[in-house]
Amino acid sequence: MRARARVTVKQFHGDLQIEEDLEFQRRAWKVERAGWIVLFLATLAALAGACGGGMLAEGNGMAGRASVEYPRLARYTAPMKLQVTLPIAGNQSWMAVDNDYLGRVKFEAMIPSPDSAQGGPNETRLVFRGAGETLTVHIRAEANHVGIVRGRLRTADGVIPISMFVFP
Amino acid sequence: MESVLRAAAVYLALMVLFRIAGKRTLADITNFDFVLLLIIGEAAQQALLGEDFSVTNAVLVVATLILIDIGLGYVKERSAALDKLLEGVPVVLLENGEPIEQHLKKARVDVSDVLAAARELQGLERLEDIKYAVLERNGNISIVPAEKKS
Repeated sequence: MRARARVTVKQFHGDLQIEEDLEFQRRAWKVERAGWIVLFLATLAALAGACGGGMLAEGNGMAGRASVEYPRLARYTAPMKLQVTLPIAGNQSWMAVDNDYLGRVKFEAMIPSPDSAQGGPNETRLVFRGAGETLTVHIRAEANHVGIVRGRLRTADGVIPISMFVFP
Repeated sequence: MESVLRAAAVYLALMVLFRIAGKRTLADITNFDFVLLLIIGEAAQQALLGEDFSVTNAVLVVATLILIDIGLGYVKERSAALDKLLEGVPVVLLENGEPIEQHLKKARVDVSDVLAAARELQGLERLEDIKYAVLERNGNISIVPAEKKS
């Protein structure tokens, strides 16, 4: 038969037998207060967009007349918006997005919808019809990869790199 | 695999947040605290399940949470330091009818909370009737009544 271990509480406060540890408790209170400050700062940072969806999260890139606005900071599977402006030549404009990026950021909807999409080994080319000098494409997307996501958007006026961080 | 990681991440985040919040945060819950608790549960639920609402996923998440809790309980039993770190230690708030102001302030407890606990638990009327008031590890206040003078 196994001997039963005797548990003893050695600490006393007056005649009260209690596992009080004031030194530890004081440190715990300090950590608690520091934690509140961290929470407060984190909330302020989140309001400013440090976790996506605010001023700090706005990213953009440009190449000639082409430009893209995108969230630099995004959240996993949360909806996000990209706005791409493309130059129009002969009532047509196009952009080519690299396939790695498309694998990590799912394009859910596009306005206007592309006239055609052509897949290639490295990139997918989307062709739009439009009039005027430039065409603005609104894209609703969601990231399905956590961490740093990099991509390239090739347009008639040059290549625009995209770099974002996706929070879990 | 993702469900297990999600559950572990949410468990860890909630444990850290509630440790920072302090013992008294949700100890004696008021109506509003109860609503707050429900909202916290609702907010965490989405992160736990993601877009997978299958029974399998729910069972997997619950099983992971329970397993982590059992595992942590087991480790705490063997490591007094970890137990102290995660659960905290009891603090004496009042001794022989005299409130220990610094402890009360730091623990966010006021004398009326101690008196309320004394009334509820021991039917005591005055501070002098209390020998010890202790803020326990679970955030509750326990009362040791003073010996009656004959």
